[in-house]
Amino acid sequence: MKTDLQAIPAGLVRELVQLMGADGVLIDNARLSSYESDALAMFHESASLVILPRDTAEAAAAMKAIAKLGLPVVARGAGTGLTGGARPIAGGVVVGTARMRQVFEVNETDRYARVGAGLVNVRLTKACSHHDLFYAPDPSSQRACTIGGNVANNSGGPHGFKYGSTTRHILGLKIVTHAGEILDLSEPTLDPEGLDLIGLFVGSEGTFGLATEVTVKLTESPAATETLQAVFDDQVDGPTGLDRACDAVTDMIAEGLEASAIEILDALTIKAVEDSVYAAGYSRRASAVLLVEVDGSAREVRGIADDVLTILERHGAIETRRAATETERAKLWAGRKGAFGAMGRVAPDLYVADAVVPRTKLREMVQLTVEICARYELRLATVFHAGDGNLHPNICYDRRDADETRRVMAAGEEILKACVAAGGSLTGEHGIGLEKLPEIGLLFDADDLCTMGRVRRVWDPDLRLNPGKAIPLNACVEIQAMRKPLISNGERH
Amino acid sequence: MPLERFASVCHTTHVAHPFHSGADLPLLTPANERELREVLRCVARDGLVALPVGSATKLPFAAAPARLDVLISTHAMRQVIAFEPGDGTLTAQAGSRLSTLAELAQSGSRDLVPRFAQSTHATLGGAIATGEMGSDRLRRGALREHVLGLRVMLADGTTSRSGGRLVKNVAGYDLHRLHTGAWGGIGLILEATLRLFPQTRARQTLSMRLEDAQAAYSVVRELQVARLGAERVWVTWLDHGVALHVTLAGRPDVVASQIESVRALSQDWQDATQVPESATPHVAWQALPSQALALLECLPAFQAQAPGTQLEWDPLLAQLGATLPQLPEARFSAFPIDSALRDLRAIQRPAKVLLWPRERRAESSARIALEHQLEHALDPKRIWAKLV
Repeated sequence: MKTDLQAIPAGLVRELVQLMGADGVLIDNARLSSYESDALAMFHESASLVILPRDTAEAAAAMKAIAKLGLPVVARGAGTGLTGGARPIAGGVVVGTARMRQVFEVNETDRYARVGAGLVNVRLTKACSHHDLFYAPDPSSQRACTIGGNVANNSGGPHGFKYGSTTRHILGLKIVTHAGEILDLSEPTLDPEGLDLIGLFVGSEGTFGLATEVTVKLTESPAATETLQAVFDDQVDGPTGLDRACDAVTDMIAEGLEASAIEILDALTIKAVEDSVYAAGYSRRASAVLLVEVDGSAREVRGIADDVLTILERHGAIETRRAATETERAKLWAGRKGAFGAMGRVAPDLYVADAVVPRTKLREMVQLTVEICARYELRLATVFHAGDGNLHPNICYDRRDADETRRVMAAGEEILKACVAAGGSLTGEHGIGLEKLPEIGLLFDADDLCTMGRVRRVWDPDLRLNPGKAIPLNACVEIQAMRKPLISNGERH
Repeated sequence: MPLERFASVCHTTHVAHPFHSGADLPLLTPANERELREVLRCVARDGLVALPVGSATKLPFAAAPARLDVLISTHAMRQVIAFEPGDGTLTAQAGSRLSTLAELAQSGSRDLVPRFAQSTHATLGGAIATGEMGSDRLRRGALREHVLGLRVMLADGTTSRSGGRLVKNVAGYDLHRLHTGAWGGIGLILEATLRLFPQTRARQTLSMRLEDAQAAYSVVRELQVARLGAERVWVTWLDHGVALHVTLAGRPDVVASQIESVRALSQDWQDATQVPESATPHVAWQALPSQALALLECLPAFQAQAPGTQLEWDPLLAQLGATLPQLPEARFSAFPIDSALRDLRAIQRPAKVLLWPRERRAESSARIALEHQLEHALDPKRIWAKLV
């Protein structure tokens, strides 16, 4: 399905300019180059055309015109994704939602908001905070990523531990289909009447349609919040600080402590953060820092925080500290959320894995990632959503070094395989995208993928929407040739 | 329909038609997936229409399908496959009884949520297929938010898996969301993984009498504004007036504090009675649905019901081990809250209402068309009865 700029008829460009204005249609190479890749810079490919509709009607009209030519379409929010999901693989049209950032409605009584898909995540909470409400999903990129992108990837974030990922917060959607029709599911409903199309759509990585409006659930702002920082160091002849931080988390889960976020940062991450503009005051002598946030009523917060501190002490934290002020709390989180950016100080490129493991296996799997990276002589900076078992072993490297890049890819694959073999998953919040597509056969067998393919073809019979992402497009017979799943599916192994 | 054609495949018996719209139907109970696959092969070969059933506790609230020839029970497939209290997950076969799973969860200091109606009879697969909501969703959310993964058998006998056994996982399409609430119309659920929650250590209910539903509405609004984080808020109709019940759940010290806060809201709350858990409408509802007159989930998870006609006692339930008395037809609306409240205020004295949607609102043809296409993609020969 290779297309290029020459293959885009001038008539289509004229039609699109007429629809969206000249600012809404990008055709010059300089501007197109911004859309060649998302935050996974390792892979890039030019789009033939980028369009930026301002609303659902424009998006529908544009999609209708594009459909007549059978061009592939890639939906894109802010391009902060980490799996190559928002970049073209073979030319075609990128539909950006950057100009659909309206807040249409904030309903304080029913606690929902209806917004444009291009609204930046953090702006949604700003739009409703005066009602003491907030939008719970908080990806680390929330200052840039869009609500539509979050829907596409079912994004998580540190506070997903308590509040869940995006899918638990979507009440309605307005979707432009492959043919340019508008599917209006935007009325907020507590439970779907009929099939749960919204639940199915969330996390479909732009392969089912283009979400243009999103109705989200708003959550009450907690009366009280407390953020705890625990410092662990390595002990001679004992478990490492990282090991003990992991064990502390496993105990918190086992004891049923309902914190709102549980995050771990390792030594290299701490150093990178403290050397950067995101410096949060993390102890530089730590081999691991554990951040735990608790929210709720004042009494509830006090009780849970006390229990957390007991566990931290049991696991030998050398220092525990409660954030004394809101400023201090914000600083601790700015450091955590800025960690990925700060790693630019370590190396020019970052391979971000997104594996998930059972929370009872945190320590052994984190140890394994350390061992694998050591074996490949790679620098590992781990910062992860420990409470959800969502590991982010980040490998710092320089893509100009071909050998190092090869080792990064090999280590990444080995880590993913090990996590899946331990009962885990390839991705907890970033999606499969382009990057993890070769590994999806580790999780799902041919029947699983064929069924998903059947569902995909209902939404997009011509397979023009974000081709090459999320699941294999190949016929079932080709899927059969993929690698064997590492996990069992009932009677099949 | 003669049983002979299935007798050699799996355990087979006859039961009364669950929708009273025909003669007795074969109830097929495959012992395993191999038998189930063979049953489906026969169903497809003979051009029959089948409906997966657990204990059939929800069928009285479902719309009758256009055609129904056989029932396929999951009762013989009831093994617990994995219970990981440390990770907060439980995987079991569809025929497992909810009460069994809840007890297992409790043994690991975990709660199975939502708190299901009819848990002593209802099955895991049935609860998921019917999109069970539970009485504690205000605090914990709906069941579909806690289904982490499913395996289903499709009409052609292939199995399909989505999600996994992890609390966080976005690999592949969330087909488990599609099957949750699909009433078995696109596949038969074989096994499911649920997220478990830390065990609730304390639960207290306050009840007060009020003049009418309008007064209840005002009080519920007060609770909403106070943001006390109730687990559930109920209204029951009395001979004169209504009773409003508020349940608070969590850590014992927190619940005690919440009770104090509720009482501080007004003199009415000051005078409210504290009801033991065993005497709350929730418990009655779990044991005997028709005893629960109405549920107002505190805003925004607010529901109002309208009274309906009585249904006849369903002989099928007896055959499947359930012991329900006469059950009412029910309908409820959920959003927007204002219109739900109008519904509620219009109800002077509902006879008996329950918590199940029966009729769909008028919806866009595009949505309906898409649903039909999805059904066709997963069930091209239309062997599954369509109740949604």
